Amino acid sequence: MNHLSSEKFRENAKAALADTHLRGALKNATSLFGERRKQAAASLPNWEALRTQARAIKDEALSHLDRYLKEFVRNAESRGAKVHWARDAAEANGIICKLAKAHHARIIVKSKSMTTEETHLNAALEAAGMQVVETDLGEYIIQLADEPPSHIIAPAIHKTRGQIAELFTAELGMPPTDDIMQLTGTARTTLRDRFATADLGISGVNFAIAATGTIVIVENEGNIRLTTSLPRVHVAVMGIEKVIPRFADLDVFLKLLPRSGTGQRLTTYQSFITGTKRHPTDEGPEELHIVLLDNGRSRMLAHPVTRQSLACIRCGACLNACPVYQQVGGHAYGSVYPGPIGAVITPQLMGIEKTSQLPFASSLCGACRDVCPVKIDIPQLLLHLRAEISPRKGSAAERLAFKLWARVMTSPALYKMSSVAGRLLQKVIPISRAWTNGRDLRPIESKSFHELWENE
Amino acid sequence: MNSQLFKENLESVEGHCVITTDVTDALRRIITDLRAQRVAVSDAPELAEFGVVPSGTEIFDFDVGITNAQAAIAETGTLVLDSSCERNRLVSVVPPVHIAIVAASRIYATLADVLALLQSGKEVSPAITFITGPSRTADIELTLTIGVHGPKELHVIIDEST
Repeated sequence: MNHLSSEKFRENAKAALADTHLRGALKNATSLFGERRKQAAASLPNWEALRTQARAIKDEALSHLDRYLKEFVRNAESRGAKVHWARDAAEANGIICKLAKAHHARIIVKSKSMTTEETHLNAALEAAGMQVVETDLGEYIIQLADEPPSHIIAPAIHKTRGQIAELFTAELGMPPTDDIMQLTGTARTTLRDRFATADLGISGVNFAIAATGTIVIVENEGNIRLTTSLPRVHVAVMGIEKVIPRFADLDVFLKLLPRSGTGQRLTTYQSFITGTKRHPTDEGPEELHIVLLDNGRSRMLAHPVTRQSLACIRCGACLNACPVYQQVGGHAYGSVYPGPIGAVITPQLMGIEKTSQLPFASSLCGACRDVCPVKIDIPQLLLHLRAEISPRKGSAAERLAFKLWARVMTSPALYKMSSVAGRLLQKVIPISRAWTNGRDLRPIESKSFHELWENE
Repeated sequence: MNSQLFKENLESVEGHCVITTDVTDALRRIITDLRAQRVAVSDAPELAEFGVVPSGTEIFDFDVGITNAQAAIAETGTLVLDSSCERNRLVSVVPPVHIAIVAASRIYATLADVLALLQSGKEVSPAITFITGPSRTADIELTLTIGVHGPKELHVIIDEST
């Protein structure tokens, strides 16, 4: 599998930067999404108020998460759903494999779910002998290519139509074409057959309503509707942070999510699923299983600074706005969640030992915070994570340099001396190459501001 | 007023819309124009004369599916389908064309109005679906493509007779 590692972000990024093809695709995608988001946000007069309200709802839900989760479970189960709690990825995958086996599932259709990417569910099901078919067009493409997604909402953003055509020719026996309509048509026909024969459907969840036990899933293609309507069994996988208190709260989130993600006023479909069908002859699955995944989330919840990471609604706006993501793309992060929010969530989910480069993959420009529909202060979180990493990871020389710097900056006399020394030294000592590799260092002026001020 | 706004917003996302007082006539025209061979309908009694109620995976063989919509949202051009009112889940998503009929009086101004309505009842329906235009994707080079997994065409008939 073409999996990159988070431990090698710098190397991955270097490789991505050399790929002109990838950079062209990223530039197109991120600028188009960014522009659409901007227009969509401007179309609502109360955008800022909506962001504030959304964050307040998430904060309320997160600060009483235990209560809202219990309420959600009670209401979902009273309407026929079966809820499963999973402490980590292995437990979640185990539950789902067991369900699939119990129903003798051979073909499983799946709609797009970042949470199941996080748990690597497909690999677990395949190891258990089942055929798993991703049905979102972008996910289907990268599944055929055996690659991880490179963007939260546009998983195959890094691939050109030419590459996709080659893939379809090789994997599906389709005659060569670069017509997007034909490529889409081939996927439709191939996947219809899978939908018709699948024994089990697996979906993600965008929002879970505590007051009614409803799960809400948003999409454009219709594959979620098919995944959740046709097979006899529906398994929905969600992080525990997806719960919101009331049905009416959706008004805010259904306004913010599509506008922030794709710039749409509303995505084409929203499915509101509450329990199982009421009569055996009704349409829809006989069983609904909801898997509630922790996998490090309660640890994030426990810390007052990191808690806000759980407010994320996975719109992808911060990826498009990020000058680092725009250049290196999603694969360089070597994690399921890329971009600024990925650099925050991944170290918290997987531990900072293996992901310690990610919080540094940012210039802290704040563009991510400005576009975030739930006002997550991503730069603050990145700094928090850096502070956790630095004492362990920084080199001895770097630690010494900053200690000296702190000493000089807190003493006026030393500060004055340093500016004189700096002026003289810059002529004789070459400045650290690590710094000047990527940028120019401006020469220090012949008189400092302090000196000018004193002479006036 | 809600009818007109609904129509404009639906058309902005590539849906078709007619406002009429004669639903039967409008429906027949659309079916004729489409040259549809096999028409599937939900189990709503008033639709029985226009097609058959498919069972199971039979639904994959139909050209057109006709359902009612229990409500609509003017500000977004959105249909609201409630599975507890009729067998609408597969008929509205599997065939390449979906035709939906909605009473003008059931078109609400805003999303908030409909959300309030949905939770006001004692029991929440097992499956409620919001539909805004035909199925779409932009997963290949971000090029908008209509009709990926769901219907390639969506026709809405707004019934102003009631």
